[in-house]
Amino acid sequence: MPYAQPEVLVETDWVEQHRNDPKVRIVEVDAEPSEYEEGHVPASVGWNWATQLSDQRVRDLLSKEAFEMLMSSSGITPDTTVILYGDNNNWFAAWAFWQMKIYGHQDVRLMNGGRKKWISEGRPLDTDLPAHATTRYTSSGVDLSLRAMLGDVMAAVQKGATSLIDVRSPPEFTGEIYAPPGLPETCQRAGHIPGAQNVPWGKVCNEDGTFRSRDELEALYNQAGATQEKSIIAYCRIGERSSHTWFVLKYLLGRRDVKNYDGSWTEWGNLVGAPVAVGSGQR
Amino acid sequence: MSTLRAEELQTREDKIEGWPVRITSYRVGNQYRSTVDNIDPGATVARGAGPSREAAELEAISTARERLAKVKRLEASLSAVHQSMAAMQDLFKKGS
Repeated sequence: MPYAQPEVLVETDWVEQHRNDPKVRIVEVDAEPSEYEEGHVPASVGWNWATQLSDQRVRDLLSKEAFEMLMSSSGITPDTTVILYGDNNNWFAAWAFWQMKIYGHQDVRLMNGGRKKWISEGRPLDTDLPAHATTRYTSSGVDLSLRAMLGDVMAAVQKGATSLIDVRSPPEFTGEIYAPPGLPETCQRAGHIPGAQNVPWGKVCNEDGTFRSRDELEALYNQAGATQEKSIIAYCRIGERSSHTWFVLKYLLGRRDVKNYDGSWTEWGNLVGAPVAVGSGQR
Repeated sequence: MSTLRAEELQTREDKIEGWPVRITSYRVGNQYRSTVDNIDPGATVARGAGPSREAAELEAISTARERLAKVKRLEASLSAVHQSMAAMQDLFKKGS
């Protein structure tokens, strides 16, 4: 069975063929910007997830104005086909995809397999910065139905009707560890949101980082209760792995109501009085 | 324009400070690059670069070792709390 919206994915071959197409803008989105500096898809623009894709004063998405400025400075118009890829298995590219959809960009796609696949295939890398003419980008609107806020998650826990998908690794979910090994601890408590099901993000990918088939993905999420009939909220630690899962659920599987909770565990695990489940129990 | 390609890509799995890791290294031009990721969930823990594969990996592994040594486990945190409480109870007993 094909993906629900297969047009949101492009393969590395396609990117190599279209990298000089003026209607296409390729963007590398990294948590570690030196990756881009060391070599990127020729003609691609680089976005730093930490500084360019969130508000730098308040913990929040970019404002509409800041988003428009980023698009304009990247040479993107509302009609541009934007191809996103990046480090860390496309997690941060998926974050950018999610934010572009919130701000209504029509044609945005992920490069299947991300930077890892491009590198492993020995495709060309460029260290030069592209010179794209700036534009005057205007967002078509804001769609906050794609985002879960704390209140939505609290309501989901109380009512139990929404499928909560925790996409972190099993040791993070059970509360064995506070953060992924080697990454900074950013929460006061370890564990998960009561009622959540653990479907680690990596289960959706093949060894080369490309997405598994629709049938495999359907089986995975149906088993976790994230069915077509349910409203779904995905979360992780800071909202980037869960934007990857959000992408899978919404675009590859066509789930009708999927939200990304970008507050994620760094919000819930720091809340005074919030219930926390560890292992299979609750405390 | 300086167009290059990643060559001589190698990947292996190992353990650093008890944590499973994947060490990837490759050459771009005359520089070797290396990354250490934590396999599950797959986040990059450290990176390194150098004139040889060994130098690049050494830098990445050394940084990864420092970071992975600091991982806090809930069990260890609880154990520390329990030890501290027991010590305080001893002090109270001695004081009363």
